[in-house]
Amino acid sequence: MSFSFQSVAPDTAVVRIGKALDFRNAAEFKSASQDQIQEGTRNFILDFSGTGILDSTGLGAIFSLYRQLTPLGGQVVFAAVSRPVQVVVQLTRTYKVFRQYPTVEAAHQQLQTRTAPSGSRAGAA
Amino acid sequence: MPVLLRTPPLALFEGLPATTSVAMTSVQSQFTNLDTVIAEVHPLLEAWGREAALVLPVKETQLDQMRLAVHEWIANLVQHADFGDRRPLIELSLSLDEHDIHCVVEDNSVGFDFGRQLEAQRAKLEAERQARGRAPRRARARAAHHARRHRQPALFSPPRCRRASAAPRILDLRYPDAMPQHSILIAEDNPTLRRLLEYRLGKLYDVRAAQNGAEALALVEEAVPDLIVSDIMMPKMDGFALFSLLRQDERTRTIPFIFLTAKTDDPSRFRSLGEGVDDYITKPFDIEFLLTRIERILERIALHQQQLNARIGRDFSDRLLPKSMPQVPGYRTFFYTKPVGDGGGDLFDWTEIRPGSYLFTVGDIMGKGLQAKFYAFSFLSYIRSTIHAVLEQTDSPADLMRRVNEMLVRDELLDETFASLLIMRWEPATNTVTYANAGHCRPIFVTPDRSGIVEHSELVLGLEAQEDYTDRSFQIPPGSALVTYTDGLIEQVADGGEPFGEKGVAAAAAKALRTEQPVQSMLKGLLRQSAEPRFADDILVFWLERQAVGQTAEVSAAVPATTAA
Repeated sequence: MSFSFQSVAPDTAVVRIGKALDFRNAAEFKSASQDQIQEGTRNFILDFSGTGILDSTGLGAIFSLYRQLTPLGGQVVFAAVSRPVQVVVQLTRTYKVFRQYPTVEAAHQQLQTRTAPSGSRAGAA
Repeated sequence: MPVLLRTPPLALFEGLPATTSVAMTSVQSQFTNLDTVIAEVHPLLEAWGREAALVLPVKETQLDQMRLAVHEWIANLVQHADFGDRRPLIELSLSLDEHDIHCVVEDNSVGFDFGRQLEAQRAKLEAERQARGRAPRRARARAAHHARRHRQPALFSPPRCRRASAAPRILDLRYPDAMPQHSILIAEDNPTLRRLLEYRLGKLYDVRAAQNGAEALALVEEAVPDLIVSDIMMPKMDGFALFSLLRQDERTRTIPFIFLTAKTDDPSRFRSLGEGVDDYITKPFDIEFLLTRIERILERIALHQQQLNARIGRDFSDRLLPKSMPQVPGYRTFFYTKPVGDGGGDLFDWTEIRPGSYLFTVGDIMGKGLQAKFYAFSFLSYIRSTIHAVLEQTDSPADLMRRVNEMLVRDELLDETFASLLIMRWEPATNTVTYANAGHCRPIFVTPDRSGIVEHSELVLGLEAQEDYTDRSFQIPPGSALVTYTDGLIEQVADGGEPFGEKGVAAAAAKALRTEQPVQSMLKGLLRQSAEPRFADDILVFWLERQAVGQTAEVSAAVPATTAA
């Protein structure tokens, strides 16, 4: 199992979680996202489309990422949350911490708006 | 006494009498090593060009038989290899040093373009690799590492062509796979044997090779291997010295160690085995035998580790689990747990905080195996001490929850520990349960008429230091039960392919109410409807039931906020 990381902005990456994030690949997820943080990524959009399994070890790996990013001013958001993932999120009440978006694009757009300084937006317009 | 033979092989074959093959049969039986090597080398020779170096540990008197065997091999090569329309010119050299015969076979065919053939082969492999998609990062790193290590190719040096048109390329024929490999370190001063071992073992393990004991020691410093195969007689530092140094160091003393040596004398053998070497194999040796020995040793160590983990896991489990249950008239309590494998971070504890008031803790430390178990153990100790420390000031589950959460977020030792936790205070005299739930599986409440889920729940522990937790209370009516559990139950997959979820578990609990062994009945009920006849994850259930007979006065007890299941 491997995770695909795609940079959509200098400090934002989309992680396609794939079929499962559980005790089998949580360590890999951790080390891969660690590399991303080293390279300057601060915002992670986790794409859960088609994810069938998110167990407590997998969730723990996401929590670690969150704990690490918070002091750096970074964020972890969820996109295209599948039903099994939604169940876990509801159970652990983590929707309070991880914002959810219907699509990766929506998440990205929102992150851009929130993080881009107003001056640069005016300049782009 | 070096023996050098340099001759075009075809002439040799033509000169051989018809009885050769018969003679070969007897010769080959003495050269099991040669067989193995040829079987390995032959297909690669075809792919890579045609130079090979073999080392065959034989006695000088066997040299002639040896030569015959090699001729047979070359005959095979010529027969099977595609030389196009060119006439092959294969040169063979045999040399004898202290212990070994070195045999070098080179194809020096005029005009044969190995470079181009290698390039084509490489392109083909590259295309195949790309077709499989981008290799995972670790696999790529290993392939690169492998390519670096084999810049001087293992068994095959670059073919020497009289008119070589392209520099030889190194092919990584081993497909990078995702399976973790055991790492093996070889210490051998004989370059040919070293390369042979590196090549042969490299098919199964992650192999590094050193020329002597000192080099091997440096490689062990870089990364501790899972096993070492070492020669005894080597320059700079011999095998005995290497072994002895490794045994003196705490970090390296348990590395399995095999001597592969020409020293057949008993004193060397006894000394080695006496000092704790795992195996002593003398040259000439059968490579299959060596491989078998390595595999057995690695297997034994894996098994040992597994057993040790299971033992530690069981020990933790025993300490994590209650030895008894509260005995209160008018109530029945049941507790059941069953870990899978090494188990995980499920925890359960109870304490009578003052006469007639009980505190229950049910939780799950995120993670798997021993590590989670260890965290669960430390965590539970912390919760116990927190309860004792603050009991004078508060017996509120929410207060306890806040403190435990702060500890999880702030304590560096427990960094990266997250937990779901349910703390309940039970006062049987008033049939009241007061609880705070930090993202744990919500309890199921079963009355004779209906079953529901005790809804109120808040954020899991360890994420936000300032998170607030609140208490909720409800009363248990006669003939009703409160069922708490961990996620193994709701994640168990039903025969329809979907997990049972809270509703599935609630339905099973309702059917089990007031049976003699309600937890067993509920679990049996779930298993009957499961896709697999066993639980896939750790199971933990605590069942608190107020008996219908001999009921006390509170008939119109307030039931907790539940959703109907």
